[in-house]
Amino acid sequence: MFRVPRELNRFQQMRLTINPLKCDGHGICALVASDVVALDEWGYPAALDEVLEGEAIASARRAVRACPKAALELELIEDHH
Amino acid sequence: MSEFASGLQVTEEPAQLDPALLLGVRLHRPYRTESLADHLRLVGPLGGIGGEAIISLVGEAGLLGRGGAGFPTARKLASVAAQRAASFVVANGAESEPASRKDRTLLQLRPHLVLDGAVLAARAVGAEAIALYIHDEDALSSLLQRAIQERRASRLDEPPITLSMTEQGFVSGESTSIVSFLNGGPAKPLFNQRNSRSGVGGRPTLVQNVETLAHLAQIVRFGPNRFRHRGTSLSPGTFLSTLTGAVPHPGRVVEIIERTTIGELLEASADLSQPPQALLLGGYGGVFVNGKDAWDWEYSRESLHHHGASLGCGLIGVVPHGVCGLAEATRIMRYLADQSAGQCGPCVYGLDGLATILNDAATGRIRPRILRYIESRFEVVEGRGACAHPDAAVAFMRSALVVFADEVAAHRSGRCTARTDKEVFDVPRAT
Repeated sequence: MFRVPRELNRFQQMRLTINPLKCDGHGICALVASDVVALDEWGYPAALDEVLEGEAIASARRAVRACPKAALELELIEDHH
Repeated sequence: MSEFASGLQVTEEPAQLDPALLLGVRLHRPYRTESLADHLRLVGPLGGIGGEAIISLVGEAGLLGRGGAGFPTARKLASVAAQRAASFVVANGAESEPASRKDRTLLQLRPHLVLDGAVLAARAVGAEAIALYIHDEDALSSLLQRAIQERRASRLDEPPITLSMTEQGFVSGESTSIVSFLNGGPAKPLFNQRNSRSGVGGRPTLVQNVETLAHLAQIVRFGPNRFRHRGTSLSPGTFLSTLTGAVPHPGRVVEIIERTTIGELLEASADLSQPPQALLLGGYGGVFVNGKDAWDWEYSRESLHHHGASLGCGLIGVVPHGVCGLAEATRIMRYLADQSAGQCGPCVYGLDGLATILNDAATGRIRPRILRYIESRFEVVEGRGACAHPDAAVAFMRSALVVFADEVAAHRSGRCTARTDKEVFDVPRAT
C-alpha cells in the first residue's frame, strides 16, 4: 500500500479512491470530511472532486483514517510538468 | 449449407484445411465431438514451437480477444510472460451471457482445438497448469472430461488440464471472478485486481476466452497471413456470432467468414428480408440499436464501435416490428439488476432503482420528471462498482430509452404499439 508522506510539497495533488468492495456505507467519511466526500441517496460515498489540493488533502486524510473498513485510499497524482 | 441439431450452420465442402474454426471440417450428422484422433488426423500435432515465437505469431496475426473486450491477445500474453514466473492459464468457457451459444458450440464440436490453444498459451506465458472453466452443465462437462482424459491417455507433453465448474451467474465469467473462484472464494469480481501480476494461487494468470484460444491454435498451425485473409485489417480473422430473438432458430451460431453487413447476415442466416424494429447487439449486457440504421453497417468490431455499439460476445438479437421493445428491455434490465454480485452499494441499489424506473415506464406509471432527469440517475451508478457490470446495465437502459422512445411516449398515454405480447428474448427468471 502506498504510504502518504507527511511533508508534502504544497503544490502536490492527490486523489481519493473508494474501494467499493470494502465500503459498507457507514458514512463516517462524509461526517469528518464533508468538503471532500458526499453520500449518495443510499448512503454510499463519492469523492466531490477528482483532484485534491491544499486543505482538502488534510480533510481527505481524516476520512481515510476514520473509515472503519479501510475502504479509502489517498494516492499522489503523478506530476506531469 | 447444412444444419445440425444444435442449429449450427456449416459448409459441407470436402475437408480442406482452413483456419476458420467451423468451416472445412467434415462434421457428421448428428453432430459429433471431434475426437483427439480425428483432430490430429486433420491438423497434425502441435509441434515444439516455443513461447516467444508463439507470441510473435499471434502479434503478427493481430488477434483480438473474442470474449467481449477485444483486447490484443499478443499484448496480454506478453504482459503475463513478462512476470517471468510460473504462471497459470484459464480457458474461459463460462459464456455467462444467457443467449450466447458460440463458446459451448465450439467446445462441443472441437474441444481439442480449444485445448491446443490453451497449451500454446501456457507455453507462451510459462504456465505449469491449465484450468478449463465452465458453468456446471452435465452434458458439456462429461464431454470435456473425456477430451481431457483422451489427451492424458495419449501422453501429450503438456501441462495438466483441469476442468473447473461454477454455478450460473452473469458476472461469474468475468476474469477476476474466475480468479476469485479458483482461489477458493465466490465467483464474484475483485477490485484493483491485476491477473497478469497475481491471480490464481498468487501466480501471474492469463484468462482467455475459448474462441480466442481456438484462433490462437489456428494461427500457429496456419500462420498469421492466412488468418489475416479474413475479417478486416483492424479486426482480422473470422469470428463466431449467435443469432437470437425473432429468428427461425434462436441460438444458431454462425461464423463470420466474409465481410458482410448486418442486413446481409440476417438475410442469409435468419430469413429476414426487411430491417426489424431494433437489434440488441453484444449481449444482454450490450445495447439496442435502431433496426433500419444498423441494417447497412458492416458487421465488424470497429464498425459497431464507430456506431456507438459493441461487438461484445457476438450476439445479435432481433426485435421485430409489432413487438413491445420496452417490455423486452424491462425484463432484461430486471435480470441485469438481479444479477449484481451484491458487493457494491451503488450497483445493488442503483440498478434495482433503475430497473424499477424502466418498469414504471413500461406500465405507464412513470412521472415525466423522472425521465427528464434520468441522466443524473445514471451518473450516480456509473463507475462506482468494482466491475463493469453496473456500467453495462446503464448503457443498456440508456439505449433502450433512446431506441424505444416512441414506445415510452405511447405507454405514458396508456397505449402500446405492439400487436402481440409474445416474448422475444428468453430471459432467465429470478428463482
